[in-house]
Amino acid sequence: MEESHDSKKEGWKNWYTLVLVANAIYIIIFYFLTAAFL
Amino acid sequence: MNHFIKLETLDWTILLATLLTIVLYGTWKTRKSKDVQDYLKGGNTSKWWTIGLSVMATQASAITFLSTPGQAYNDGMGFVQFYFGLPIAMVVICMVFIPLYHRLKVYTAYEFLENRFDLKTRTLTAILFLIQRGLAAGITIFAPAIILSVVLGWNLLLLNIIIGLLVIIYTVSGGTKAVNVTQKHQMVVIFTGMIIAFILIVNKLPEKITFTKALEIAGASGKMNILDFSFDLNNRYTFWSGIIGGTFLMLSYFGTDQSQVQRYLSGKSVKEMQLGLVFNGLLKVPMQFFILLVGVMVFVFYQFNEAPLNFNPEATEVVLNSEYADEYNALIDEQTKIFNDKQTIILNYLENADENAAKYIALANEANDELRGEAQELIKKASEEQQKKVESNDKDYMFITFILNNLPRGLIGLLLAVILSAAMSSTSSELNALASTTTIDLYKRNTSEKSETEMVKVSKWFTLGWGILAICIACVANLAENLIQLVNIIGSIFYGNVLGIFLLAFFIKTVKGNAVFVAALITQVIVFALFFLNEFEFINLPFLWLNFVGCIIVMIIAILIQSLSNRASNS
Repeated sequence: MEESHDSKKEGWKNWYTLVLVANAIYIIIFYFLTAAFL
Repeated sequence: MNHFIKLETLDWTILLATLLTIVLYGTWKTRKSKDVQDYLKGGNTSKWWTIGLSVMATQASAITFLSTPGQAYNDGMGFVQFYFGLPIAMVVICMVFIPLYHRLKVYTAYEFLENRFDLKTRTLTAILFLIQRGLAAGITIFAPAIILSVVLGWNLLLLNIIIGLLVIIYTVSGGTKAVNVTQKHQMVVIFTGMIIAFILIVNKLPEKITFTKALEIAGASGKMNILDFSFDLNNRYTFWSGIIGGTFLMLSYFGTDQSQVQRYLSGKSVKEMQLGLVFNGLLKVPMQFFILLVGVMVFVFYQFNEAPLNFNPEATEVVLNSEYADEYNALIDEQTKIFNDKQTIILNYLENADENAAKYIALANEANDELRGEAQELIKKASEEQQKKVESNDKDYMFITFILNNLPRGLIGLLLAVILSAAMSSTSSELNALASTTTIDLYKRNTSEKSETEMVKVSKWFTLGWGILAICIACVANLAENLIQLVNIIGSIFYGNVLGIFLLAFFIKTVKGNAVFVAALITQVIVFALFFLNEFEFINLPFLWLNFVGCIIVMIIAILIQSLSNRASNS
């Protein structure tokens, strides 16, 4: 029970990491777009 | 001379069919609300995609679709930086705010504050919300109505009343469930309309202009400068203001503003609520980027098609009927000359990728911007002379003018439905939240126990009351000088303080109710003082920074008062 609770928690951490990583990727893409079309 | 553009039967059919179907379906589908939980929290049945779409629809008002492309047309893509803090805020709200709200089974964000502090802090924040959101609800209706009335010649008062009444019908009838159901369909209309518009705009570019070439042309005029890493307080949209200021603003908006909190509190479970916000965190930045890209493509379109000197047709009419008409016509001639010269330069740029040509394009567009600035000055003078209130800044009129003059019949109706759907979706969330706060935080808390049926009835009356008030504010908004700016200022004056109170509640466990309440009152006085010092130019603090300053000040003062009071009681 405890293990499944922990793995669920891990799953949610992955979602949050995904949101933050996606934001970082957007910013990196914008950086290259800015550089490419300067 | 009449500048109004007439809609054809096909446009009217698509516009009315879209809006009425959504309103009638939403009303019919959610007509039975058994109890308060059903009416104010949608019976806690919403799935994550409904919450995600609902949260996005609440934030995206009509002005998002009218003004953002114009923003990109004038200043480029930099506005997207404003949203960089949003995903961070979503994660914080998912991890801290949602579990607490859910555990305490609250109906409103302010209810939580009584649990954590005391009744007076709850009442204070609820009242601050009602003042600010009540005014904003009127502006959400007025802002698109004024633009559409100027361009299409529709009666402004009637348009305000129609938008308000349509929203009132389903929001009063079905409460939160109706808001969620309609917002899902409104978002489908919005996405469909914007994607079709984007494809058509790109197709309208000359044959040899590929999408990449179009971006190159936009880039040559600085429209693709997305990131700005400078530390300039006066520059509203930089990477830093987006990451720091944006995080605070979005935390405050999504975590403490009932119009957003109510959207995710309707979730079936904590997970559905969290996933709904994750959805928003993932999609919001690309969505804003896409809307700005539409504006940039319209800019490229006008590199090959001559643009009006000012996109506001009413402003053009005023200046052409004034003593400045000759001067204005001279500016138009000059613009035509620049436009013709630019065609040769762009052709050279595309064929030879000549760096000098890129510079010439930028110079030509700079010269054109200067002409547009001069035209705005003439419009101001002409409108002052004729004592007419005309908006010389045409940013909000650019996209709608483009739509009406260049898109095919039928699609015009669909895009008008996009704009009105966006207005209705934001307004319905606002009315729903205003009614919940009034019912739960003020009425229920201060009256004797009432039956569920009675409470639903009261909530409906409050929704109707706030709806009528919003329509009244929208109807008188035209009389006030720059009311939209005023509402934003009022928001910034209160928002930071409220966020600070919530952050204290969540993160500083030692601070108690009295310290927070006194700190909130002192902070409000300080924020007002800072605002007036800036107004009278004693300091330089643009009003958006009041959000950040208010939040920090209330936290520091509350912690100080609490530690002084602890020390006093220990000694």
